[in-house]
Order: sequence, then structure tokens, then C-alpha cells
Amino acid sequence: MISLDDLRRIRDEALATIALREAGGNVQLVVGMGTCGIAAGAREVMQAVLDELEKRRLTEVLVSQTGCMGLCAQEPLVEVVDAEGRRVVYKKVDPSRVRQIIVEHVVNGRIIPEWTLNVTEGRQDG
Amino acid sequence: MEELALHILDLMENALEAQASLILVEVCEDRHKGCLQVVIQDDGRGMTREQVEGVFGPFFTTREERPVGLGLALWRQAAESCGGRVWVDSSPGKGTLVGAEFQLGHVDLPPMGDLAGTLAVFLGGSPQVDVVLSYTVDDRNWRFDTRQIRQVLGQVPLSHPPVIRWIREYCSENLARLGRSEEDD
Repeated sequence: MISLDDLRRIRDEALATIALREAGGNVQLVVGMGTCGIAAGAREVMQAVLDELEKRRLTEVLVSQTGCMGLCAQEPLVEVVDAEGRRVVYKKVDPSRVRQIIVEHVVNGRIIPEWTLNVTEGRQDG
Repeated sequence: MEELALHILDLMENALEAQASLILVEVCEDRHKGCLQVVIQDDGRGMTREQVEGVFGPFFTTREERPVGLGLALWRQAAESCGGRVWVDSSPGKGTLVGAEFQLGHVDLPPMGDLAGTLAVFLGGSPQVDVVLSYTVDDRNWRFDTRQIRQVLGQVPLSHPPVIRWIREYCSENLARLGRSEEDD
């Protein structure tokens, strides 16, 4: 049975081991969670994102959600924003693509061109 | 959508869009009346009377990216196709309440589905929002409140991945227990 004591243990471990997140400079993952995204499987995609980040202990990656991005036929969409502000949108993402996007792009910094919808370069001055 | 829990996620996203800081999800299963009620209430910016009047139409949206908004239209369709109804109560500055009633046991009633997953995924992407889930089956109630979770967590963020996993497992187990005791009667 899972209890509040388990949560207290998680808290104590977290306080002992992780450097708590700092704002700014982190990689961000944004999952499209409009009606179109949810109908296409965005909940399972988000679940896979959270699972994979936990498994790889990537606690510094920020996860957020957004509404419809206006490209409903390509959902589920996942956007990766790297520390330099470059934005890459991946289309038709499923849980197995999530794992590869996290390994290749988030961890190794290599975009997977076959799955991208578009790439927007970040600020050059930053 | 194949699960009520996916509709609930969609309606929670609407609340997020309206800049809610607290979302209340209330589910009441009354087997004697044969009725299932689901209410999602938020403290977001709310809507004007004109917006409320059009809100169930497939072309209603407050967004500018595209001219359709199917979420509430699908919600109404889900309720009405199994002998139920929907309602909305909202005013600017006071937040929005979206409710639906379904006939329990109706052949077209979608399963509740993975409500624990809905909560965990929502909080994983929006850990700044507080969510209260109140789930009642006849005279038994179970309540989950992120404000209490935050008290336990102290300075550890709700978004810490093991915390999100704990939320999913904790909710899943407690909701399953609520469902099981229903069958034992």
C-alpha cells in the first residue's frame, strides 16, 4: 500500500541528493495538450516524458504543457527548447519516440530530423 | 475520446488556459439513483454571459490560433449520448464550473479510465496549479489535495519526478479501492 510515508521518504531523499532546479538555462520539454493532442494520445506521451526523465534522473529538465498549437493533424506534438533557446517541434510523437527524443536530443544534443515539424533558432545574442 | 478521464484532462487544460490556480474535480457515483456526476470548477478568469451561451458549439474558442474548439462540444456529446446533460456556470473574475451528468450503466457511457494518470500528467506539466480531487461512490468519499501534498514536501517541488510517480500510484491505488468496495456491497 502506498502511503504518505512513502512521500516523506521521497522528500527526504530529494533533499539529500538533488540540487533543486534553478530557473533559466535549462532544457524544456513542452507537450501539446489541447483537445486535439489529448485525443491523439498526448496523455500517454506526457506520461512517457515523465517516466523517462525520472528513469534517467534528468531532474533539471523543465516539463510543461500548452494548448493547441494549430497543427492538429500532426499531434501529439512535443517541443524541445534547448539552453540556447532553439526550439524544435516533433510531430506524431508516441511513447517510443519520446524515449528516443530524450536520448538523442535532450541528452546528446542531436536533433532527429525525420520527426521534426520545424526548427526555430534561438537568440544569437544570448 | 474513449475515457471520461481524458475529457476531464481536456477540461482541466481549459482551466489552465483561463489561468486557474486551483482546480476542483468532483466525481459522484450514485448507484441507487443510477447517476454519475462530474464537475470541474476553477478560479480562473471566467467567461462573459455571451461566451457562456456559445460555449458548447464546435466553433467556440477563446484562442486566436484557429477557429474551432471541440472540447466542450465533445463533452456534451458524451453526456447526451448516454441520457445525461451538461451545464456551465461562469462569470468574469469568478472562475468557471463545468458539470455533466451521465446515466450509470448506459451502454454508451465511456469508462472512467485512468484518472490517476490524468492527474499525474496534468501536475507533471503544470506543477504550479493546485488540484483537488473528490471522488464519491455512494456514501464513501476519497479526497486528494495537492495543497496537503505541498505541506509534506516542504521545499521539494511537486514536479520532482518521483513525486509525480507517487501521486499517480497513490491516486490509482485509492481510486481502485473505492471502486472495489463498491462491488463488495
